[in-house]
Amino acid sequence: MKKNTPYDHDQLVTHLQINELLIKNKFVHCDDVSYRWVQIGQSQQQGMLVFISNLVKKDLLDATILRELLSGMQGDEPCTIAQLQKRLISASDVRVASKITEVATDILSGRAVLFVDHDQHALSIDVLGWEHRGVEKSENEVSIRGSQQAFTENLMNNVALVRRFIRDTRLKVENNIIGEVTKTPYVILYMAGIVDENILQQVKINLKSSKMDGVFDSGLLVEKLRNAVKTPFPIINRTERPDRVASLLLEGRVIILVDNSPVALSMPALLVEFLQAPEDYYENFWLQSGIRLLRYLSLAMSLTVPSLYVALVGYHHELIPASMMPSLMSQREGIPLPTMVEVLIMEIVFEILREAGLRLPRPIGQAVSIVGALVIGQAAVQAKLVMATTVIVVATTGITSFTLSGVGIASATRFLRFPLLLITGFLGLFGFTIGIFMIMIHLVSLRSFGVIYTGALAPRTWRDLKDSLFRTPHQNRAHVPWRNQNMD
Amino acid sequence: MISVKQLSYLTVILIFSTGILYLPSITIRHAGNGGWLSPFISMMVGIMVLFIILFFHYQFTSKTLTEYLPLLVGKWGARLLGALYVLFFWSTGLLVVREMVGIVRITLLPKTPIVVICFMIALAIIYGAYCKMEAIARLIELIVLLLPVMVIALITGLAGAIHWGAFFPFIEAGWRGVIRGAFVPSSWFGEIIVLAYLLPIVSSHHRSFSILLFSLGITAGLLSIIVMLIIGVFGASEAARTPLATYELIRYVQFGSFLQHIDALFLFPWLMFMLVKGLLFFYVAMISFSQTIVLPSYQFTIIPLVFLSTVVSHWMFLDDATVSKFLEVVWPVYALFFEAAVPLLLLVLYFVRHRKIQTIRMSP
Repeated sequence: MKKNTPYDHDQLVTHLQINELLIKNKFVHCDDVSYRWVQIGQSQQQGMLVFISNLVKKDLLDATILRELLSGMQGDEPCTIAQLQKRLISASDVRVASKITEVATDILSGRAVLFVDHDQHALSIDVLGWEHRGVEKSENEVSIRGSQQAFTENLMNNVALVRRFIRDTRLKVENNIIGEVTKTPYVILYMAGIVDENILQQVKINLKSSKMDGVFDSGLLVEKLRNAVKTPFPIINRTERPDRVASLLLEGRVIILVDNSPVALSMPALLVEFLQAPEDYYENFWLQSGIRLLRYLSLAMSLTVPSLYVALVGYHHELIPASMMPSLMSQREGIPLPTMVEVLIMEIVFEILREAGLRLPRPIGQAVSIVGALVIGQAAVQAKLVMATTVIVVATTGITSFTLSGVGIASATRFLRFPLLLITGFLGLFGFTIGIFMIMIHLVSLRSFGVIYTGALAPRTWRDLKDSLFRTPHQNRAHVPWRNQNMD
Repeated sequence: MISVKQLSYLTVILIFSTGILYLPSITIRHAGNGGWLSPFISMMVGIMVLFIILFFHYQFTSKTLTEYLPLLVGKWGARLLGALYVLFFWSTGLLVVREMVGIVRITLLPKTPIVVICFMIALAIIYGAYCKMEAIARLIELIVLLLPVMVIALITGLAGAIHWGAFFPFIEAGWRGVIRGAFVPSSWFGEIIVLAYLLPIVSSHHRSFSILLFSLGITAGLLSIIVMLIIGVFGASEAARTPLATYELIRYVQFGSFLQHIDALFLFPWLMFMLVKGLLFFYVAMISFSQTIVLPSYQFTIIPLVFLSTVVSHWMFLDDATVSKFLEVVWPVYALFFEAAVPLLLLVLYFVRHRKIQTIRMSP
């Protein structure tokens, strides 16, 4: 690109016509870029306003820039950019630019750039105002109590949502840009004094060293951030709730928000975090402790129930209570497939249904799940293709995985369910033990940004358990360390 | 870095996991209905070994047994003794794997080829060793929670079946019998010699002796409970004839009329414990092996060590009776030589060569 331009440096010049050529050369075949010529006030001085009409707010542009420019300053002396900035332009966010690439990026991010004759600087003015979604109710992390708002695609709005929860100067917001081509803005949020500096530095280094052409969602950054740790378990948490981000910040997490993505990333993540929900803290602690234990049970069940069922029916009949045996045997009669294959097929069908329900428009999605779950399940049992118990087991497993509030952990157990099912199918309870042993030792060996992933469970202390396995009253829980330092 | 607490859990699982397999019937054979006292006497060996390795640890901080051997017995003596220790840890790991294969074959998979079971165990152990000691210690911290559940379930599930008369007359074989019954289990307690390789990575040694002593006491207590249950349910003479008495015991557990024959359920924690124990011995064998021949990177050595052992275990012990006989006759002498005799000798040597060792340590 640079070779074609008559000037091989990036600097703007004092002639407006040449500047125009430079800019137009940059924006060849970009018909959405508008050029507005004005004559500033009474003087003969020419000005050129460049902007992308769909990214700026026209009213704002007219009121704060155009009207002021046309009325101009008193006297007919040509004025400089610095004078314009100080005395004429009535926008709050204004800065002076002198490089062509800088100017181009500003125009592309929705600012209006003003060039005037006889000045080698340009004025970049914030008149952003494109169409975007308003703050809506969180759909993927539903909670009954507490704030209902969710992040949107607008980065600065998202930061503002977090700011509204934490009115403290220690909440730091660092703007950055990632993506060679897309130049996507992202923000690193952390609480100074609480955050672990090493983790913060590591996050920054990982992001800086990543070379990507395009970043369209925070999900793309996860792989760059986790530094080649190979595991199905999520070692970076994600959330779309500002209240959750605020509470994670107070616990010393580093949060990353990416433009165009309504999902915030939080690191380091612990396993126990995925089993907590916002209501845990807003509702009665007795009930919520019980519900939290229920979630731990669900986690274990969603991983093991199909395998245990296969081990019981396929290998260790003696474990099944004698009174249940006749009914099981009568169901088993005439079923062509071995239990393991039966469960495997049903699990795969369930996953297909889930995926189909997810991708389809909502009304059709519901129809698919009803047809899939009720009609096919019922018909398969009646046609003696599968045992009724198998359908119950698969359905239970499916439901348990939906109780886990952290989305990532449910997909990890869903993924690990299959190898565990296979090894149990071939080797019974022995295979199950080997499988669980390997999953567990993998889990305890994990670290998220140097922090032990299973922290608060293993290694554990009684103090950790107060907010991991249970939810004890707020005054009993360990306070965030920084509070003790600065409150008195 | 691991904590003393994790080390104490490790001690309990290390001794308890295979200690309840063949030991109770061997003990009861010698000690009769006083067999439940034997574990406390065997514990003395454990305490002695613990004292020695902790003493050496304080003398040579951040050094494992293999690393401080040269200071005590000279360069070539250390190589020889180090190699023998590698062999000892490896063979113990092998024995654990063989015991595990035995119990799996008897209880869960009677028709599956031994090779398949061995291969799966080897796979789990190799993966565990790659996850390093910290992960193993954390795993132990998690699964140790199954231990009280297992013991309480045993006690409550068997409470109805215990005949209290079996304990009278009190210690019918006499104290001599109790002490003879304590001989074989003492080699199990001696197994805490593996701590000599783990102490250097313990983060803080605050009260480590008393915590580890307490865990030895707990282990003896747990073993004693199991032996008591066996005597109470089967009677001493019947128990002495049953090689896998604990497994037979588990078969008796029932809760109402709903949960019966739940032996397979007990096998899950039990196999977990045995897997961890096998893993620990191979891990220590791997460390001592790499330290004896001074390897920079050691984790790959676990693969030949484990696979070799699965082959050897298959070839050495053709049936479970051989394992039981080996454990009763050969094992205690062999194990106690490495667990108690050599450490004692080293302690004597330390005091004899005290001055010289100090000068060696001072010189760079």
